[in-house]
Amino acid sequence: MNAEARRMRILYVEDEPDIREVTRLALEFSGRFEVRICDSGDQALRESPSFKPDLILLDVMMPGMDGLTLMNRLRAEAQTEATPVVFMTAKVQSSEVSRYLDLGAVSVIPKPFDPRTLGDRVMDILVKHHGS
Amino acid sequence: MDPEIRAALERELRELALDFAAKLPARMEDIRHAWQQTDRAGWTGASFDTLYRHCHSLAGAGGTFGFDDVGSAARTLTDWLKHVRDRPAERDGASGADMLVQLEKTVAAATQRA
Repeated sequence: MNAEARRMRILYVEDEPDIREVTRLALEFSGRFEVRICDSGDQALRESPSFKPDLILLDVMMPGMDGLTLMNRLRAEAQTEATPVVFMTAKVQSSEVSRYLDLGAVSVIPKPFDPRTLGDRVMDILVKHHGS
Repeated sequence: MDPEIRAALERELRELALDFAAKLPARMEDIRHAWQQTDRAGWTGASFDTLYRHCHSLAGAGGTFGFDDVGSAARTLTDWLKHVRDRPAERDGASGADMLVQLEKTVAAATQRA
């Protein structure tokens, strides 16, 4: 798949409104992504089958269903079982990053992040995963 | 990125940063309230989880909106809370209270600055 041939679909799950908004802005302004935003794991599970994301961006710490549980639930769904998952988290100790990667995430984006470079960062991850 | 699009993004980011700053006192109040609840209820359970989530969230958001000092002070308090969660017997209440005061001062200064 050529990751740059069309706008890539990003399913983004985050409970905090401020971070949701700045991430949406950063991704949409890059002009390369179609972003579907969910404020909870339950909403993400409802919307992912029809949205068919190319990549899933997950906050780790959310009330209710946390990011790790959500990743496992998405892995159990036919539409998203192979979709790459990237965590965004303020927990950036290397042991925690290694744990998320071991559990199946393809990358971890630490918070705080620079909204000006987030689009490039996500694109790099997609190109690495899907090929150029 | 096209320079015009870049300029538009910068304008939007400035607006979001101002909005974030305007909400900082309310976020600080949430932390203060959760701290008091946790202090009354004991340093475990739902009130502790709420306190941890508020601090953790501010630690990540502060720097993203250009308030590195707020993010850093919230990160310090979050790390202390994490230690309390992992090793409750070692809780040093005075240190935690100092960190809370430092976060309050940092938030107040950031709000004025914005």
